[in-house]
Amino acid sequence: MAYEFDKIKILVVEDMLPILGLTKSVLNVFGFKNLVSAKDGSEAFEVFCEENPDIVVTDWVMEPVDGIQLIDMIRNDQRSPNPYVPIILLTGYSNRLRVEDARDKGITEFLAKPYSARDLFTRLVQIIENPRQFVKTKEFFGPDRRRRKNENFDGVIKRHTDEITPEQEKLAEKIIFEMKKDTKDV
Amino acid sequence: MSDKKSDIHQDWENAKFSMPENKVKKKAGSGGIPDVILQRAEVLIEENHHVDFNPFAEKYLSNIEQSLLELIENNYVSPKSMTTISENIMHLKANGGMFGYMLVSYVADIALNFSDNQKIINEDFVKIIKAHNKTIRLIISNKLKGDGGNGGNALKEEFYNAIVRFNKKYM
Repeated sequence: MAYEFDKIKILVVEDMLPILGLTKSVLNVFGFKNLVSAKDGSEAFEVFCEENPDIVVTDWVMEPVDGIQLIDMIRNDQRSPNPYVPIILLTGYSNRLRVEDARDKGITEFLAKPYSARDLFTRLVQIIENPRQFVKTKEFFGPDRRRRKNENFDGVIKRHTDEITPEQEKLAEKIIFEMKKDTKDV
Repeated sequence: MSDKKSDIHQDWENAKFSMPENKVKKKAGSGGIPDVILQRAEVLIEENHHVDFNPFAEKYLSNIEQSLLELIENNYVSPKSMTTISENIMHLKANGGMFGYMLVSYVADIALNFSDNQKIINEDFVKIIKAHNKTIRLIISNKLKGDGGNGGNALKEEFYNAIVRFNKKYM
């Protein structure tokens, strides 16, 4: 038996069109057939209200409305059809302060870019098998920011180092030489 | 206890918890997916070379360079320029690896940790960011795909060492 992803609707929000296409393709390979998309937070909230997806996967930095503003609307706007929807935030930011900042805005899962297919799948599995309870206080509404350890989580298999040709090795040496030259006075 | 801590304590005392219905689990069921599917999806990303990353990278690099100019013009005091610099380095980090240039992501990641929330902004800071930009351009113009192997590791180390020298000099 395997997951039946064809019954699940996902909203993918990304302003870089090739990455939007790639993310949808990866989800499609996993088995998700019902995919809707938007190119920024403003368009995304309209689509969200209309389509009421089961999961939202959104980029952070977009204009004019970014991923964090979108999450705020989903969680707190009266028009939101489902403030409890699981939300995966995709971003190149990965330092602790940024992750905590995103977590405090109401995300469900955080995924640093560049991501692997396995990384994305792991987040989806967390949503399915390890859902978070929701917390409502005066200051915050969203998934509980604490999570108990999942003892059965095996982790992501790391990408192995690529093999490169001798020409590419020479090229890397040339680039290092240029960098040494530019930073020798630092 | 500070007022802020007691406010948070009070806020949590009044917290309401709820467990929404797991609609996703209801629809998806259980059982995972075959490993061959994961591998197929992985290959999709690893072979995402048909889109030319160069125009995107050039846009981010130009934005960084424009902001460096503004930073210098403003005597190294410009929060807006610093935000633009970090944001565009972040875009390089986020997207390089998605287009087959993992080494771009690695180098930009080092630069992002350096520039994000950086307090010491001066000529040496600008030198390091310019070195970052030049390195990214060289990687892309020479189509050095993947993580660059041992050469890539040496490159990352050299860039990291430049930042260590900066930190030793100013901190």
